[in-house]
Amino acid sequence: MWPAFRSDWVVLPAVALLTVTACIAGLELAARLVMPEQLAESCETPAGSIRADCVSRMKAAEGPWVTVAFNACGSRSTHPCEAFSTEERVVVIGSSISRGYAVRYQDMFASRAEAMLAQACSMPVAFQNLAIRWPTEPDGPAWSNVTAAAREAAALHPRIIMMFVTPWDLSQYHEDGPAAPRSGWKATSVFQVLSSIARTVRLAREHSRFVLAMRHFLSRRDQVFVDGHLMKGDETDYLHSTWSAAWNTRITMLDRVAESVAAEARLAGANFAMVYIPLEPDVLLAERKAVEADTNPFALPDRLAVAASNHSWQFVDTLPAFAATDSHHLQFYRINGHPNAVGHAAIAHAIAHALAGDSAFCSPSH
Amino acid sequence: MTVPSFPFLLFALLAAAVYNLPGMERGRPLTLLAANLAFLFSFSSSATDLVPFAVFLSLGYSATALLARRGGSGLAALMIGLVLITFVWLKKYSFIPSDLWLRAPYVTVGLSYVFFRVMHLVVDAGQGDMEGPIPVLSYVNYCTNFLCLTAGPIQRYEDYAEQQAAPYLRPGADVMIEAAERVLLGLFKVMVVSMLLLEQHVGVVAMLTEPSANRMTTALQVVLIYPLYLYANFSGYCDVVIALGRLFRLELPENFNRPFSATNFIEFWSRWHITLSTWLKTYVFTPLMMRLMRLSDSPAAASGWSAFAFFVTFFLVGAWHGQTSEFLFFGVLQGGGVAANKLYQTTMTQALGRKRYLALAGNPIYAAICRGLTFVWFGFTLLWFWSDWSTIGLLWTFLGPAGAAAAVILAVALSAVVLEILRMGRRAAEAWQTDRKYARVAWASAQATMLWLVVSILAAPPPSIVYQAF
Repeated sequence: MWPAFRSDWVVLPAVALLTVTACIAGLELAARLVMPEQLAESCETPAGSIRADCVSRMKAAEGPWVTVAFNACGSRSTHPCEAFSTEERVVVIGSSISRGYAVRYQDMFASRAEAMLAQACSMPVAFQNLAIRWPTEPDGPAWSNVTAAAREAAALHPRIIMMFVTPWDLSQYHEDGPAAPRSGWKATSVFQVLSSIARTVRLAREHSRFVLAMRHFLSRRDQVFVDGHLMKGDETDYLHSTWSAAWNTRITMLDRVAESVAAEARLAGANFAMVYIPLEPDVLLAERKAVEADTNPFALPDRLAVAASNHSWQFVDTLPAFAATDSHHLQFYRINGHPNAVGHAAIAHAIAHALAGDSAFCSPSH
Repeated sequence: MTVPSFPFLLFALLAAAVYNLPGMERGRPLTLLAANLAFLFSFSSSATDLVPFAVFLSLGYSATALLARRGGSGLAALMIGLVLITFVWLKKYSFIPSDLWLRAPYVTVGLSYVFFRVMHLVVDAGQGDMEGPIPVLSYVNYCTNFLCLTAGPIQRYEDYAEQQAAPYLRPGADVMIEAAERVLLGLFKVMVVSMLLLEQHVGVVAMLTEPSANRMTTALQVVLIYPLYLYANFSGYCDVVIALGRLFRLELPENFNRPFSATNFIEFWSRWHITLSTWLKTYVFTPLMMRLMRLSDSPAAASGWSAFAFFVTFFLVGAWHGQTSEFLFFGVLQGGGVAANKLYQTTMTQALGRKRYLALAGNPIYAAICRGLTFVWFGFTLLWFWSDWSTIGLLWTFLGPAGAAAAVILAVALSAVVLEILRMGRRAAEAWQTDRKYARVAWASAQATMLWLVVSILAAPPPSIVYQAF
């Protein structure tokens, strides 16, 4: 009979526990050695602002090491940010993409677009980016942070203020005010313990480098990646032909916030443009590298274009530029979700194309 | 229902729980029947989808019963032909005019494996090897056994009937633990190893169109990963069903016996998909060889006949997989490989003498090279199994003649070294059995951890079993 000894009732579970721990620790260690990552921004203060003239290094697990240098205004730009400048200034507000997350400065959309526009418009152009900052909030970023960033942007006397919008931003940003309680029913102590364990496991999984490495490996096929993405529920509902009420609310909220940013721009005598940046699954669906019934990657940018048209904002849809890029090269860090250097080139191309065709921006009088 | 999957495991465990209930002596065959039918119904949208399947089963039973009562080679040939033609017709083989196919959709899952069981009964009955008609319930349960319906293994009826007729013994803790360990091993092979290998294989095949890809490493991976994937995929499935069979008093036959330790292609086929190759040896090779030997039984002719019979048998193994030209060529390569192997053995024995040839075959370096060559040949033939002519053309263009020659030499050398290291590792692991109990728990825990990690990371169904398609 097995187990043979009374001590086995203790020893065998201990062996199992030890093996599981050793496996997980060994795999995690190996993954960390193979795919190092440094995402925490050391230039960021606890309040969410950036220290002036600070330099840091960062690395997405799927990308290269990158040096990040901020100017006196906390903008990732080689140009000074004083109020008076001889260049045509474009100020970008948005989340991490506008700061060139995990790409080198020379690969970033801003430096590429500067060069393209300087050539197209025969005038110096400088981008400043005010990536939206917020103190660590348990419920994610609030739209009020965007409005605050708009005021800062207006103070820089730009020719144009650009607001970057991604589907991820829309699913994460919330209205101001205290967050609604997540669960209506009272937790018992047993439930608290269980939910605490479940939360710990979930967090450990989210931060595990081994899990990231495996997801990176298992999601190499475009169709598998898109299939997995569409299983995220509410976060991806905008891709379905019938939108959930939550997504309709998000668009209404964005409309309101964008209008307040546009108002700040008008007060500063600047134009306002909304720039739509898709996620990788949207691009794959648009390129038909992945096929899913009942999906439409163009629905969200089309809705934003209508809103922009209603308010007379300029609208830059970067999805066609992504879809037109030589598809042999990935344009995103697949699991991390941010565009890589190739993706930033697509964004730069779309922005430069839009601004170069805008007589108000690109004309000899300016 | 996908096999193996967690719903399938739950289904099998529920069926086993009912099967092993106390006082179920008479109800056990009926429990098996209910489980088999429920499993079959899971593949159909309506009962009519199963009618052709039922007709085929009925034909097989009628033929077996008729031949068991009234033998005769003429009647046996007629019945064998009838069963064969019905099978080919239902499987919609491309040489049957499509106008003759059934238009309505119907279930064909596992039909090939049912065919092997039915044909074995019909042939045995025709040869007078059956004592009398077999009970209908036993026949249906044998042919539609839900554990091995979709992809085998192909059990012989005598073994099945003997096991079911043996006095009932409730599965003890040891049986349960061993079954659980083997199920876990099977799931680990299918859902972790085979899936990771498949992902890697798909990735390197896509690299064939990349101008920047390293030609040699890409080509080596294209050829060498697939046999490992196929082994993990199919042997993992077999581990699961063989382990579950023990809960139903079924000792299903093994389908694999460390195939990559084979030092020649004939030996390889006695270790790979064993039940299929055994079936074909019994019902194709042996009768064919006997007929050929009647023509001339000189030793010189015997070696030629043997190579020819091997070719026919293993050509059928390949051709059985599908009706496309790629599968037919796969059959030619299987048959050609085994026949060439037989002729080589004969030539070497004649040239060196039996003793010296055996000494050469026992040389560790020679054996390692032969092992590598066998593995690479199998991987090479599998190109016609998983890809098509255009992909094979692409690989040829990708490598060029000189690159292909270099790739073959490198692949054989690499395989010889890696397989030898694995062999030594396995021997060391077998020797290290100071307390096997703890090692087993540690191994099972490691597999369970990897299984949990991969299943929870990948929000997609497990990879399907390749052999389920045949």
